Amino acid sequence: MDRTIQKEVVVIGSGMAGLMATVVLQELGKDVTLLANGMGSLAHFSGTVDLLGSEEFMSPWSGIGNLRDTERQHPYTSVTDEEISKALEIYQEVLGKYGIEYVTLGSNVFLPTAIGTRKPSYLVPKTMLPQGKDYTVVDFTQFRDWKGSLIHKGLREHYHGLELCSIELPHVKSLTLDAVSLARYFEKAEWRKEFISILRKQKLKGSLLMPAVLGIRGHEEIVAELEAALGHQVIEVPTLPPSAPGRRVYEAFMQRLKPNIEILYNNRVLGIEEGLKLRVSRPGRQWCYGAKSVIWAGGGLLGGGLVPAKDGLRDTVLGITITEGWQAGSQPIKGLYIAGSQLGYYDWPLEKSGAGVALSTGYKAAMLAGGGYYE
Amino acid sequence: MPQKFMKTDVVVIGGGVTGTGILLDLSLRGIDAILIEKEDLANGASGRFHGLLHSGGRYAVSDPESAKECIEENLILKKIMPDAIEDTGGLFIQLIEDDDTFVFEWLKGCQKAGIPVKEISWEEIREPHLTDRVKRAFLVPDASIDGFLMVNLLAEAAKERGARVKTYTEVLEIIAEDSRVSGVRVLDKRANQEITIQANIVVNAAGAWVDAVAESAGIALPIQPNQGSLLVFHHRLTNRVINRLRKPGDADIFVPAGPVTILGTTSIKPEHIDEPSASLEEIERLLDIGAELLPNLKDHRILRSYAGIRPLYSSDTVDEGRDISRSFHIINHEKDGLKGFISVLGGKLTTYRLMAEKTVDEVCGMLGIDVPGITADTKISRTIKGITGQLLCDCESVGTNDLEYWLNTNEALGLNDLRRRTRLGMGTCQGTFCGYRAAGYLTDRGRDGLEELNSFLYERNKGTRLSKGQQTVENALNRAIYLGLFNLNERGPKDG
Ligand SMILES: Cc1cc2nc3c(=O)[nH]c(=O)nc-3n(C[C@H](O)[C@H](O)[C@H](O)COP(=O)(O)OP(=O)(O)OC[C@H]3O[C@@H](n4cnc5c(N)ncnc54)[C@H](O)[C@@H]3O)c2cc1C
Ligand SMILES: Cc1cc2nc3c(=O)[nH]c(=O)nc-3n(C[C@H](O)[C@H](O)[C@H](O)COP(=O)(O)OP(=O)(O)OC[C@H]3O[C@@H](n4cnc5c(N)ncnc54)[C@H](O)[C@@H]3O)c2cc1C
Repeated sequence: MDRTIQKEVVVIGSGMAGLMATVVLQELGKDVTLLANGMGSLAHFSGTVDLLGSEEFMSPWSGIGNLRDTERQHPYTSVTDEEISKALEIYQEVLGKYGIEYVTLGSNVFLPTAIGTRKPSYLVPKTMLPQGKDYTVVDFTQFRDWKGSLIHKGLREHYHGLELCSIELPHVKSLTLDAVSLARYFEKAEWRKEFISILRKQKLKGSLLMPAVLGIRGHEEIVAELEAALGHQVIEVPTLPPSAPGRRVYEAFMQRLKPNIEILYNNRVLGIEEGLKLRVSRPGRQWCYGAKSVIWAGGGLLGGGLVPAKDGLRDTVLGITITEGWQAGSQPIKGLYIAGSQLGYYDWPLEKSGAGVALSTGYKAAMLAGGGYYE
Repeated sequence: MPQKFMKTDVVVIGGGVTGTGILLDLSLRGIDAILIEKEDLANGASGRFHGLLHSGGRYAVSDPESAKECIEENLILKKIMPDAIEDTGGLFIQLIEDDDTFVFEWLKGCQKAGIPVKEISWEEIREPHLTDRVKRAFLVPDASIDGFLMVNLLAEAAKERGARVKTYTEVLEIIAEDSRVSGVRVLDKRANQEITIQANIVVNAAGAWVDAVAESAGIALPIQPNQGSLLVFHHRLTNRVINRLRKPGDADIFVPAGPVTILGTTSIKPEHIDEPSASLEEIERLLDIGAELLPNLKDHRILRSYAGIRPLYSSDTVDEGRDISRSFHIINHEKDGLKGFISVLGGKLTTYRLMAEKTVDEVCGMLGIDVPGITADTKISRTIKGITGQLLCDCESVGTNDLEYWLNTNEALGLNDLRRRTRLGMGTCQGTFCGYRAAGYLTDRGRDGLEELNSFLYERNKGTRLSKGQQTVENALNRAIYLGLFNLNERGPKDG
């Protein structure tokens, strides 16, 4: 029972930071094992990679520079601009191979949101970048997580002459239809035909703003087909979770990793001891792994790596309570590297830095654990 | 400011369960009445209470009279308002360390009050989260009530019978001529208009503000405000109401309410009565004592905390809040030299009907009318049933038809008012998903949905701002979506 299986590098967590770290380790030619346990926040992630955003500046890079001077514990103090860029490059490449093209203008862009505000982001899927002069919001009457009138009302201020049209989706009866289920409808060619013929009867102007439900697999082809048939550009706008774009990201990374890497699904780590011994449970049994180095990327409250405790946040694997997350660079056990939203001293929803921090710290942890730096 | 006049027989001040109960009783006896509420209905204790339809068991030893009233009213309310009550049943649990002589006294008290009690075995308890340190367990007819729904059902039933309800209208002053009430001066806050309402009788049912209203007529009421705080837990942790069987104290009752569980209460002197909130000390105290009954309590997620104010009538000075009798008081201020003015205070939500009946008996006496009350035999049902249109809130099954119904009452209600009336956003997601959908629906109806959403989230987050460590997963998701994804920089309501 107490058999320990020895591994070289183990990554715990198949959210954004863990997946990034695993790809980097694979690139470094390491013998890496990924303990996967669901998508974490990728189930919610909108697909647009934020670095740092505010109404006050357009370049996230200058904002990050300022942060490093003023907030000495911020996770961005543990990575350089070059490391952030490298992480984004790898991300872009992984998603590109899966068939999702990402673009950046080198500064932030303001994207329309599903409540009719705008949000700054940095690296975005081409299908989410608003282009053109005129726009029409397309509302689906049976889809309650995308409210055309609300979006239209708010965005009118930013997009002059914004129009609104509302259509009934073919065959959709569920009262609780969510974005991911709707994305599955869009993956069916027959259904799309009916959808297109309904939408064609509408008066449409300029680019069409639709919820981010345009398929998970084959997303870009689906959008291209809609654009060709309708004669209008189609722009996806992220909406309430669960998120189809987040699932695309998960699939893209998995597609990249599966052929080359040992992935153990449904493995929950129960604890890590000194000497990097991992106690792991998977349905029906418990297991022990040993490793030379470990990357722990369990996510924050939403990923399950941290849980609320009486006087702070408790790390579910290390069993330690910390006030607001780990400080970047800390190594509570030798050979253990922590990455992603388990880090504290930043507020990603406020700063708009979620994916930026997860990807860059995941990258950095892998470089350190895999000996990617030679000093 | 333009002036406006209205006329009626009776003005009722306060849109809690007492005021709306009185309004319905008046309308059933054919007496014309207007209810004035300064905020929305159930703004006071009636929307911030524990949700327990008492069997009377809690008062069996300390207050036999209340115990008897409770069990009688409990049985009546289950008959006349089944839509607002879930007949869960209740348990009184004696733990190993709890005093045997109290249990003996309690059994005697229940028998005297007429409360049916049945002792059950460990196997029959069937409460998976309950501690195994149980000595004895007794079943009583406790139940769970939805206070918001109850108040709204009462108001709707009264309106159907001709009564008028003015919300967001504050009583500024009781007007008197020659030691006799002639009406009230009120401010309609939405229209920003003062109205003088002429009336023969004014009933003051302003809950924790009852003394402030009396003071506007120059009458002093000795009130001692007392705060009780409660914690709402994710999930139904208990099947029945669970009471600790010992001398009543803090945090000794769990009430299952729809999809959640409410633990309470405390008893402290509040800092202010207008927007009471639970202090961190109270929260810790609730958790510590509650864990004696449900040992794994601290592993369950807290959705929110809230607090309500009990207006305790203290004609004699008393130091401990909980020892003043909670039986109610109907004060005819003729004794203070003002005819036509009555204050009603104290009591429990469970005994509102009885209080209302006694009050209206008094009003009838003053008006020289001889019509008996019939509320005990008048069944009040929910007007909206089932979902048509879009389903907005999965936790509480609220559809666009529910919102439409309330919007059509034309009281220009906002999302927060709709939440109180329909329970939208009261379940486990605490409004994260249905708030969005409802904002969309309001925009369809020509409202500023985004502004409504903004103040809805602001209200919601007031109750969930615990300390950083106690931030819940629901909170983190709410913030991820509205701030991280939608960039909504939540502000308070526009005007403050
Ligand atoms: C609604 C929403 C919208 C967002 N929108 C954006 C956006 O528009 N732009 C942006 O940049 N960012 C956005 N983010 C933020 C971004 O998604 C997160 O910051 C990022 O995904 C965090 O990645 P992570 O790897 O640290 O954690 P997660 O993605 O949460 O991953 C944690 C992983 O660890 C696993 N795990 C936890 N405990 C264990 C254990 N004991 N054993 C094994 N595995 C374990 C989990 O199962 C999961 O796989 C959004 C987030 C949310 C919730
Ligand atoms: C913490 C707590 C827990 C409780 N738990 C239970 C329980 O489980 N079971 C039970 O049976 N009872 C319980 N009670 C008691 C019960 O809640 C109250 O007895 C009942 O709600 C009182 O209703 P009310 O209408 O008298 O007062 P309120 O509901 O407070 O109504 C008074 C109303 O008057 C309005 N008002 C005030 N001033 C003015 C003005 N100048 N003009 C216009 N309107 C005005 C207020 O806005 C308010 O809406 C509890 C009480 C508290 C505080």
